[in-house]
Amino acid sequence: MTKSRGVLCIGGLQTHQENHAAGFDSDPRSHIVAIADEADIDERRRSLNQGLAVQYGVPYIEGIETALALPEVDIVSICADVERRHRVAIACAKAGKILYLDKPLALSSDKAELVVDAITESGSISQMYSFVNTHWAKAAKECVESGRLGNLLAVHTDILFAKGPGGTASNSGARVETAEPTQFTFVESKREFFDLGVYPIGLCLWLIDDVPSEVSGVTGNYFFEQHERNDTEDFGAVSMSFDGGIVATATGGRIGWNSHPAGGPHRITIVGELGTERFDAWEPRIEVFSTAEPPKLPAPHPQDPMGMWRSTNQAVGIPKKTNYSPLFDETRWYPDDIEAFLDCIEEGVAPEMSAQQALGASKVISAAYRSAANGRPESV
Amino acid sequence: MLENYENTDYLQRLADSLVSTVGNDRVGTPRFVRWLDRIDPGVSVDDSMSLIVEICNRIFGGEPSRLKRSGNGESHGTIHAVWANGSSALISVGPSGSNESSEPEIMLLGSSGAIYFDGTLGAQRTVEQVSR
Repeated sequence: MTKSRGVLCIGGLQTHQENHAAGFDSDPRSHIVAIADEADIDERRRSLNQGLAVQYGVPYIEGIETALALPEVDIVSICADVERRHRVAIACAKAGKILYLDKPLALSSDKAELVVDAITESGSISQMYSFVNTHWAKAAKECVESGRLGNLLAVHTDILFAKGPGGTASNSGARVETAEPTQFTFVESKREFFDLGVYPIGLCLWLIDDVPSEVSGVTGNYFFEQHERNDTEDFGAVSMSFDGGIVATATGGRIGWNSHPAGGPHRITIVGELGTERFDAWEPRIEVFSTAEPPKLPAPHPQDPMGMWRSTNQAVGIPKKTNYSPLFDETRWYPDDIEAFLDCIEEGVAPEMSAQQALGASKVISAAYRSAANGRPESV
Repeated sequence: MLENYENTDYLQRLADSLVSTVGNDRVGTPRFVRWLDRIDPGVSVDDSMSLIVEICNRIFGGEPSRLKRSGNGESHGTIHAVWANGSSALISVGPSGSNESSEPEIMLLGSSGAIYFDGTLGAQRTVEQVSR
């Protein structure tokens, strides 16, 4: 067996690092060396980072350069706030480290391009977390590659999270979008089309193996007053046109805990000349209906009302829904993605969702924000 | 399914069911419709999508203020529509396969709930892709 690789985790509790770190910690081919972040961060973030360091019994290091200088660091798992994620990722790439990246790559396509340039120049292996290593996405890819539907005509993907107490938005009218958003991170909400839309858009581009030329996007404040208050969208939809005539559509967002019997609609529809096939994260499943008391959403955690983080969900006891019982649930998605990443490192092959592949999704998201703001299609 | 619209009241019943569920305030304010449908050869893509837009107009209570069409117009098409109150829809039609159900898949998201209509196509087997 190869030696266990040392992982430096940037970012701590109440970030996706909770999931990344758990995945690296559970795989015998990797171990966590330290938690770190930039020195100039606020006290809340520092305290949450230190909390993850305590959880894994490793040191917390202030300053990215100091942490990168640790000789035992092979891999860096980056979950820095998206507003400064590009800066951290570029520093780690320049240090020649292997990179496991939170999604999306950066807050704009321009900054994402800088990250990809640095990674390409360093020659580092990189992977952004995505759904391409789930069984249902792999089955969709197999469908496309098999050619059994004839020439590909369209791909439609929905990744919507049924989390958080929905039904609180004022429904006061159309959302006024910003062409180039700059602030994404709030305690009570985040930009969901940005943060969750990267999943379905990334899947569409990966399945089609291309980047669209034009997009039409819209964002909304459909479900949550917290998003409305922070001027962050809770939903977005985009239609993408490719030069070869293929069309893709994607929806990404957070729709409320009560709006789906499982984690939310997660599905891919492949349309070819010879027919249509659908791939669903919650199928195959059994469905259960009984006199048992249905689970209820508890009072929200004050630091995480949208149910974004593993630690806060456990703290308030968010129950598992019981109507759908899929044969393969979501608990393996993170570990499977990290396992695939470590496989690629061992085999010396590029991950399916490398930073280079992930750049397309950032370009589409930026163009979709422009389209939503301007009310017309935008080129990518 | 759309090729049968003139011969049956299936689509009408489906549309009425959606509209009445929304009207009875079961899902709050209707905000988004995803409608995926399949058509047989010779059936007009544009006509089919226009029918669905009309149903969305009933759901949202007006006509869209913004509408983007894409696709080849012959075998498949997509409409991205936005209404003045910010509600929106993605409507897509593509070719039906020889052994496929022609019922649509619909997802209607309301401000406090959702409606799902999955037709009878069902999802494909994916278990072969599970490694453990």
